[in-house]
Amino acid sequence: MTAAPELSRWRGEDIRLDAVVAELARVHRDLQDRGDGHALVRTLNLVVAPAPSAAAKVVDDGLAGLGAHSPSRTVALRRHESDRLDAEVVLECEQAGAAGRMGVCHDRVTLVGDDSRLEHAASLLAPLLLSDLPAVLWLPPGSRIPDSRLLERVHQVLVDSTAGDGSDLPLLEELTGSVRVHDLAWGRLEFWRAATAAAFAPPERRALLSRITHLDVRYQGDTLAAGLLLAGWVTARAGWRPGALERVDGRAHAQVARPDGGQVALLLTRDAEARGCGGIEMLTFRSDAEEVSIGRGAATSHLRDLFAEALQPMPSFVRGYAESLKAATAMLAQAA
Amino acid sequence: MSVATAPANPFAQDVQQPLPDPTTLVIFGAGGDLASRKLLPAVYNLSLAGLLPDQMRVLGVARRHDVHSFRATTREAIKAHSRTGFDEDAWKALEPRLEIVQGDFSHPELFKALAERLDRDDARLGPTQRVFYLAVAPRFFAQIAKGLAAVGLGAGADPHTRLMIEKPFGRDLESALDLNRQVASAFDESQVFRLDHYLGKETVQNLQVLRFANGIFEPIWNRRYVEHIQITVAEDLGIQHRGAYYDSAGAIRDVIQNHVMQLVALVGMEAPVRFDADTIRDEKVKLLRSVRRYKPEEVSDYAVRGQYGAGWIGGEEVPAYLDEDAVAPDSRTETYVAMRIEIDNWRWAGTPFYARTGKRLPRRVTEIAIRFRPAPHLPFANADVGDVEPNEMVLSVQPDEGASLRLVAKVPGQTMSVRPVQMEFKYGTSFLGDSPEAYERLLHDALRGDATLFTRADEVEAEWRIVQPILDAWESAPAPAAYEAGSQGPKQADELLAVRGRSWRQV
Repeated sequence: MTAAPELSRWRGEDIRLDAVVAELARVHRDLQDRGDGHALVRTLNLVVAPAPSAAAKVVDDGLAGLGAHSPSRTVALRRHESDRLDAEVVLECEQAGAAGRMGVCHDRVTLVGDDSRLEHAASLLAPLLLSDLPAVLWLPPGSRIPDSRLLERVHQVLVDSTAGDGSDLPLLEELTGSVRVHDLAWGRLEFWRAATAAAFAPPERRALLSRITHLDVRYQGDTLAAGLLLAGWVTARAGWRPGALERVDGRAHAQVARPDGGQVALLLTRDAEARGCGGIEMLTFRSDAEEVSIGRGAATSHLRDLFAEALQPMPSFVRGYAESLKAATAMLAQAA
Repeated sequence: MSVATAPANPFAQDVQQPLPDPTTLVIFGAGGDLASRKLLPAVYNLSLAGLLPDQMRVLGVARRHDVHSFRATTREAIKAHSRTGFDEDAWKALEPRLEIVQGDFSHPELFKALAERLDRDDARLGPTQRVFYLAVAPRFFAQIAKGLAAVGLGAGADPHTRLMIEKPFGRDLESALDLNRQVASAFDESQVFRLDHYLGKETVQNLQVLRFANGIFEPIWNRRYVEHIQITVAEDLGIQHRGAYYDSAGAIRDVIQNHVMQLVALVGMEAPVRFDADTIRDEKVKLLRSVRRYKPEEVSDYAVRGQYGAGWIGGEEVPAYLDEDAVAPDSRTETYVAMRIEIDNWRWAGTPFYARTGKRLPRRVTEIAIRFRPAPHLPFANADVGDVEPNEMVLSVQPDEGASLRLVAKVPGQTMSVRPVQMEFKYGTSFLGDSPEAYERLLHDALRGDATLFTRADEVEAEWRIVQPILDAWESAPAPAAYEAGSQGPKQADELLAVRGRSWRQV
């Protein structure tokens, strides 16, 4: 996705926040004075936590598409080593498209500071967040919340836990206790929840649940975290008790207990060749005599703009996330 | 544990959009244009989006195809018409689900062969509901419906069956009643899904949310505050390759009887107590039955028809309707209709709905404009405020889906000058840009058995009862008024509004 054309860009080094606020007021005034069919539109405040350089492309891609679906007051935080605050203010405008149509503009502020400043990010943001609009904190991969007081100012946190070994899941579980967490990984797993529900829709299948002895999750590449989320969800919803997770060479396994005390062997297997849907290729429930296999068919999670959906106050995919995290985290905790 | 005491499905609680039950989608006319351009790409995109059940089979019925040629042409159709492009991996997952039953539906043997094939597949692969999509010319609807019923695939069938048919539902009241009767002899009404793709559009669905989820509109959504309503369905295109069909239908059958009447119903209906199929359709039918039916001798006061001549559209010269392919040189078919619709109920009595549709108008636009009554008194006696335009709310269905509200505001400065300003909401800026295609939404709803966005038999009949007197009057009326392609339509349409001091919005 390409970024919207910029209408103006301002940079300041070693500045005070007042200068940023003044610059925003100036560019908005200029835009109004132009009177050429552009309008300033913001539907939310998006705060981007400082991200490692490896996540730069993810951040750029996310912000590039923003104007088309969720024009925002975006405030991106970045870290540098110098003892000063730098800033950039950019006004981006989607093209008007055709004569008589309006071009939608939104603004993006980048604040670059050292750790001591970023530890007070909430105070930096206070004058920049637009009142009456929801505020979303985006934690790109590898980033952390620089100032816990930020959580008091935002309505939801956006993360993506798909990649990795699941070591972030306990932190996310803790976070769900204080703020709504919209996890793109959970959105990508929506197909699996619907397919599992469909597979157990026939009453005879539901009866089978109490006899399940094996649950196999085949996951794609390095997406063990996605596998854990799905296994956690099945465990939670089936009423099973999570057991300690052991990991060996891309395989992870745990003994999970059914309510009747019977054991379910949970096995997560890495499939390097799989294309996966949300990082999962296959989910199989087995009892001594029967098997329910759920494949992904043609399903892919690539078509949906989950980033855009996750910015909404209540995306369609949020249900069951907290329960899934709790079960997955319990498996990880017992392993530790 | 017995089936009767099986526990509730613990996985269902986290699923907002459940997958349809295992399904065999049987497409009559699988080799045709509608299947290629719309239906099969919709199946492909639903499968990509993970919205189809694991057990989903597509069984084409066609005269000339075998399974290999059906799969090959489907692949090309998806490549050409899928809104998401083509993905080889996804196609490989879908391809083996495509099968064919060869035959001609004018022969009863075809239906026997189809029933046997469905039973065989169910025995081998597991039972599925059967959804029959008739992507064939409307004159075959009744024949196929009855053919299916004759082999036990109609009313009361087990596994459950559904029938999907697409407008036009008849070409006049009599034929619509006849079609409904014949379909009803084969299928229960609850099994019949009449598809008008307009109802699958996001903005049309949003009409109900806008009206019934925002408390500020409903109190003013009536004759007391609304001066009149304009519904416009304008196209810059001509009739393209549909000359033969269009010349026998015309704008009133093609657009007014279905799309426009649905928009009238959605704008004018009372609030449903629940958002379910029958409750909503009950309210729509009530509204449609409240529409005044004109006597043939009154029609010229309420309706105008036109036919486009040559002209210019988008900088290109375009031919007159009579010079289009497959159009009779002396055709009297209308390509433009404007009409005044009076609704005789407490909410709307005295507030007319004006509707117009036309081909070869300056641009493509579908919109509903609600013109509110002016402020009863302007307290700016000593100020030169000029003409204060009344408030107007415009709901755009296409191409720019959204809503705008015209307000009057003071121009900053020393003097009391006012000018209209627009508050705009555009779907594309507040929601995802890539909404599912209307066919995907409607097909998915039908597979799930949700009939909310489909037209019920009594709705179709109520729509025809409104337009039939106009059709009757035009049988013996003078030829349609001519209008130049690229113009706003015939001048006579302006007079419909001008007599009351109103005017059409510019297309």
